[in-house]
Order: sequence, then structure tokens, then C-alpha cells
Amino acid sequence: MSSAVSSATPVLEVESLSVSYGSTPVVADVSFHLRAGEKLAIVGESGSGKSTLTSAVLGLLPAKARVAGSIMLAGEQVLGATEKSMRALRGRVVAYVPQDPMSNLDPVLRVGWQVEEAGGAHPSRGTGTPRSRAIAAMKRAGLSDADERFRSFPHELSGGMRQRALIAMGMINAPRVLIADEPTSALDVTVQRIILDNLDELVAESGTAVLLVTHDLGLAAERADRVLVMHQGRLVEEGRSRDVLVAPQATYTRALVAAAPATRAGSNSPEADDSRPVALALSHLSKVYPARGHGRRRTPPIHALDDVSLTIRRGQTLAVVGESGSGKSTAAKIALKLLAPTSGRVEFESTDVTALQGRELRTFRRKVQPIFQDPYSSLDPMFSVEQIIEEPLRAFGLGDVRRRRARARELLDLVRLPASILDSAPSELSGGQRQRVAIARALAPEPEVIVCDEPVSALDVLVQANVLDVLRQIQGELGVAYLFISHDLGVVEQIAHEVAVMAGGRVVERGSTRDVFARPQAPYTRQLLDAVPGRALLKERQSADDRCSSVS
Amino acid sequence: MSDVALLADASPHRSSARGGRLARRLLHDPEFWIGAVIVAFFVLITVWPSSIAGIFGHGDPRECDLRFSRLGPDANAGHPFGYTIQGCDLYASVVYGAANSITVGAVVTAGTAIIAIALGLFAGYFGGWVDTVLSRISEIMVSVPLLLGAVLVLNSIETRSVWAVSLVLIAFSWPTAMRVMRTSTISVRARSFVTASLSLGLPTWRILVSHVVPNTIGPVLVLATLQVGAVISTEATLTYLGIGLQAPALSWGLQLSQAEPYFSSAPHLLYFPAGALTLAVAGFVLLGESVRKSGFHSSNAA
Repeated sequence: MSSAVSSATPVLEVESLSVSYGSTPVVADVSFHLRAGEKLAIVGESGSGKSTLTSAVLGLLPAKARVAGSIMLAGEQVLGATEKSMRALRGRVVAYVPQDPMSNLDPVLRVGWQVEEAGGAHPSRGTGTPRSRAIAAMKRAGLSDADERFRSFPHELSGGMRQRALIAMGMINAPRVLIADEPTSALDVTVQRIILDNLDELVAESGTAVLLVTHDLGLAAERADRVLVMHQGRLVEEGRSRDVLVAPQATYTRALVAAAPATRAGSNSPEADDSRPVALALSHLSKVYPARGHGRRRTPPIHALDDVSLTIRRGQTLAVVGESGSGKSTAAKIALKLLAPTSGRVEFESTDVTALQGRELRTFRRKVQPIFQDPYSSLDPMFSVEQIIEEPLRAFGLGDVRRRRARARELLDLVRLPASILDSAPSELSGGQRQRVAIARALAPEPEVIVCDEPVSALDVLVQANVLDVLRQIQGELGVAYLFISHDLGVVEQIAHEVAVMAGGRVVERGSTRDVFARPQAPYTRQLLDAVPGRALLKERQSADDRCSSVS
Repeated sequence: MSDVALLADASPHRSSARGGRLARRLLHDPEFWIGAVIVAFFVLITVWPSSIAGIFGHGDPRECDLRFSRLGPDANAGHPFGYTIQGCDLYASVVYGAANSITVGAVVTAGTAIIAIALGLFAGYFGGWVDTVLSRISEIMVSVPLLLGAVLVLNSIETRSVWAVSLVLIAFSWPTAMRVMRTSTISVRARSFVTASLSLGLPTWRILVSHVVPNTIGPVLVLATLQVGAVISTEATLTYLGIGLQAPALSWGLQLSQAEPYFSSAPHLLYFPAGALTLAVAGFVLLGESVRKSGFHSSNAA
């Protein structure tokens, strides 16, 4: 099989491609080729130049970009090609599946019509009416009820269905090259897996070569024949997927592999200690959103939480894992007392929190602090870093001006940021720096519990590892407890003492992290574990490492 | 002592990088400079008209001699704009006329902005029935054409001072800015730094003042700077139609209105007040436009 692949002719050849904006190089001297029917993954963090590279292949770079090198697509030069000749290539020879299924479908046009339009751009291909071709393409992409879905608007579809529609649009003309730019990173892992399986079948049928762009090394290794690793616009490593993952050569790739959640995890997840006193206990929580609307538009009541009990022990981490819609964020909001439960109790140090008011409520607020998912929206852009960190101190009347300043410096030091950024605005910081400022703010009033709602899912892998290290170190030093909400099992494995797996508003499995990961009981947990991309490969690599170290 | 400490505490944020960048962008924009110079000139003659009115030797617009009624410009006699119908110096009249126009422009814009910010903030932040009530009121106000509404109200007032005219203009022009404020408040309220301050247990007014307003006020202020020119010309329109300011007040609109029968025989009565009006409006519009271009309204642009 692999020999057949290597003997096939290249459909895409990139020769020493360089792209720069002004004096800033974005892509520097990149060469690679993609053969017919081959699957090639480009891995890199945000800012590594991978998206610029795909734009270059599609001939969609902005006019101000300075380009050098050569891109041959099915024997035609892309660089310098006229817009007209590019248009003939796009869709027929090269197709594109964009990243975000939410914003890449026109919200005012029916989905089927959009697929039909993509097919109609090259009417000579295929047989049948445009409509039947569109429906067939949607069916192939896994939208089984395509006849009905044809008339749906994008907002009526789930994220996974929209992504399938985008894949149908890309594949309708059976292109020779499909560029998939993070095709599933906005989706839940189990959905991601089904969609990628489906895409694999689809391209195998039509012999389409795939260029998969992703930030996830595990996913790349699992899905592609070969992997290219990009870092700061350069190609730092190229090789067969397994080789790159198991024996990475470049320093950067080694760091990436080491930081991949699935590799870091395993034997080093912290040990649960049941004897510790309970800091925050949620018991028998339910949250029901009542029915809305009238007549045909009446929606049934939504049970966001259904009899959920969670216990967070002092100085330990309880991770709540689930996919979107599982109720995990609702639980976090109730724990922070930002949302009232329909029934159930929240107990903080053995007092019921749900009815607290006035001074006692202020004490509770001080002791339970949040960290949010998106560091780009959790810091007030009009505040300086110092103001942000000092705000909780001012709010709770802690210290005077001078002591607050000193405390802000101390806190920055704790999250490993230099004091020189005190006067910076959040817009001057990177995502990882922002998230650490958010952690410093949460730590400022010396809380007992920090509710972290997906604190690292908006960050690159290496930055993720760094922020998790900071969180763990702080727990070691200050003994703060975390309620750690995440959809990513790999991340959870490294930091949590205990795990609760949620689905459909219920806790389906709970236990110490080691037990749950080693011997998952609920079928849903197993499904989640299996869906983590590249987990099997990375585990294999790790056990190989362990064997080596035990031998030596 | 503690005051000094407080000042020291606040000072680093004043010179934030964002402010510096905005200022630099403005200072490199010719539109800003042209607009600023024109606006500064009109503000000067509003506060201190005698400084400019007297430079040709006839600084008093009330010193009239009917013998010179409607005579054309005569630079040698010290009347470069000519005489008004009553034989007063037109140059001094135009200079003194600025005060009312600029005052109405400033008062209406400030009043509109304050009402719009307050109501838009409440409607956007609290939502629910507060939003419903305030939004419906704004829709009712916006459905009355400004000119028609102003004609109806002003016709029922006996004496129409600058303040009465300003109030009527404010009453009919706040809804647009209020909708803008409401929309940007809704988008800011959903961001997690507001949730973060909620979980600090901060009182609502403090969240509004320190987090929501600074992040939402930009678009409204830009709208306001663009609005000044429009308000000045609306005041002139109303006065010209006879329902704005009344004689003996000095106003460009009034001067245009009184000059109407003589446009063909004494065109200078039209040209000079109209020119002043156009220049003032252009100055404010240029200034507003340069502020808009600088990205002041967006916390992300800077």
C-alpha cells in the first residue's frame, strides 16, 4: 500500500516557498510534495505560518504579500497565475474545508443550496441534476437524512452536521487535493472521530490527496501518512507519522510530543486523598430551564443538570469532563453562585451557600474565584495588568495602596510573569500570558477554591503545558482546590486527583483519576478515551520509553 | 498624604500605551488638525466674541444706523461683510451669532450623549422588561420626524430661548445613540471579565462604571462628535423656519431668515452667515471623522 503511494505522481509540489508581509517573513523556504491519494498533515501552533501556506496553495494570498518559490498544482503553476485560471483550479483540482463550521456557511441560505452551488461551479463534472448531485454529496459526507437537511438553514444544524456540509461542499467535485484546515477542532472529540473516519473513507473512494492542517500532533499522526512540523514559518521536521511521534528529531518536535496531553499523562496523575476535608460540596443539584414559546414553537423544558453531586476536597482537584451540552459549565456557574440551581445545595465549608447574602456572601465570593476559558475576553481591555490583579484586592478592601502593589508583584512572580508587565494592557500580551494574569487575579484574594472553566482549551499545546504546570505548582504551594471543567481528557489526566464524567446533565462516572483512566467503567467514558486523537500511538511510545528506561 | 498616594496610584494608567497610540494617530491626521483649528476658532468667538468682532473697528452688533441698511461690503470703512437690514455691522453680527449655534451644538450633543449612555446602559445591561420599556420609548421617539416634532413642540412655547431649542432637539435625537450604546453594552456584558467582576461580588454600579462604560462608550462618543455639526445646522434650519430662536437674539439662522426677501438685491446677507455656518459644521464633522478613523470606538483597534 505504502509503496503504491510513493510511486504515484505528485499532485502538489511546493518548492522553496517564502511568503513575507513587509519585512516580516511568515513562511520561509518551505518545500514539500503531496502525491495522489496521500494524506499529509501540517502541524504547527498559531503563528507558525501553516494557514499562510494553505492560502498560498489556494492562490488566496492578499496582494501585499511578497511570495517567492514555486507551487505546482496538478502541473500548473499557482504563483503568478491569473485569478481566472485559479478559479478553474479551485473546487475541481483543489478544494478547501475551512476551520470554523459556525462562520463558514452563509447563515441566510439553505445548506443544500450552498452545496449545490459549490457543485455547480464546475458543471461539467458528474452526472444528474445539480440537486441530486448535492444530495448525493451530502449523503457521502455522512448527512444521512440529506433529503430533509437540504432545505435546512445552517443554524438548524449542529456543529458536526455543519462540518459535514462543508466537507460535502469540498468533495462534491471529487478534487484531486483537499485542504482541510483544522476541520474538526471546534467539535467534541467523539464527533470529531466520526467525521474524520467518514472523511477518510470519502477520500479513499475518490483517490483525493489530503493536506490536513492541525495544531494537534496526535490527530496528525493518527490520520496522516506523513507529517510536516512547522515552527515560526520553517519546516522543522518531516517524516512518516509514526516516526515523528515515536522518535522526533527536531528539538521543537520533541517539545511538542512531550507536551501533548496524552504523553504527559498516565502514571504521573496525582493521587487522590479521601481523608482531606471537603471544601466545596454540590449535592443533588438540578437546573431546569422552563418551557418557552407557544403553540408549535413551544420548546420542552431543558434539564441542564439532573441530580448532580460533586465534592471538592481541600488542596485537591476535581475535574468535570464532558462534551458540549453535558451541563459541566452550568455546574461551574452554580458553584460560583452566578446561577441559582432549581433544586439542591451548594455547601462551602459546611454552610449552605444558596441563601447567603451580605457579608457572608462576600466572604464566600472571596474564597471561591473563577478562571475562564477565553483569556481574550476575561481581562478588561481598558485596564492595565496591575489594575486587573488589584481589582479583587480593592473589591474586598485588602491592604492599602502600597501593599496591593507589592501583592500584585508577588502574584505575577507566582504565575512566572515579570513585574515589568504591570503597566501593560492585556492587548500587549500573548494568550498564555493573559491566562496567567487571569490566574494571578483569581489568586489575589487568597481563595480556597478556584473554579476553572476550560482554562487551557484556547491555548496552544506548549502554552497549555506551561499554564497547567503553573496551576499545579500553585496548588502545591498554596493548597488551593480546583474545580476543573474540561472537555479534554488528556489535560485532565495530568492535573486532577478525581474525575467526574458528565453526559446529558448527569454524572455517568466518578472516581480517582488513575482508576477512571486505567479502568473506565461507563461505556461513555471508554468512548471518550478512545476518541482522544493519537492516544493509542502516544501510549505506545510512552511504554516504549518506559521499557528503555527500565532496561538502562 | 493619602490623596498624594491615590494620585500616584492612578497616574501610571493615564499614560497607558493605548492612549498614546490614539493620540499619535490623531496628531498625524490632517483632518484632525483642520477640524481642530476651525472648532477652536469658533469656540473662541463663542466665549470671547469681542476679541474677534472688534478687529475692524466696529465690534458692537447692536450699534446700528438705518442709513446704511443692506449696504454691501466696504473694507475701507471697516465693514468688510457690509451692513445688515437694520444697518448694523454684519461682520460683528456673524461673529456674535456663533455663540448661540455653538452653544446649542454643545448642549444638545452633551445632553443626547448623557441620556443615550444612561438609558442604553440600563437597557443593555439589565435586559428583560427594562430593555423592553426603554427600547419601545426610543422607538416611539424615533418614529416622530425631528423637524415635525420640533415644529409641534416649539410652536407651543411662548419664548424660545437657546435652552428651550436645545431641550427639544435633545428630546428627539437621543434614540439613535441609545440604540448604539445598548447594542455595545449587550456585547460587553456577555464577556467574561464582567462575569469575573460579578464573582468578586462587586456592586452593580461599580461594574457598570469601571468595566462596562469604558468599554462601550467609544462608539457613542464618536457618534456625538459627528453629531455636533448636524445639530448646528438643524438649529439654523429651525430658526430659519421661524420656530427656533427669536429676534433680537443673534443667530446665523435668524440672519438668513431675515435676509430672505433681499437675497437678490443684497446677496452678502446670504453669503456671510451661510459661509460661517458651513465652516462651523465642516469643522465639527472633520474633527468627528478624524476621531472615528483613529479607532477610538474600538478597544481592539488600539
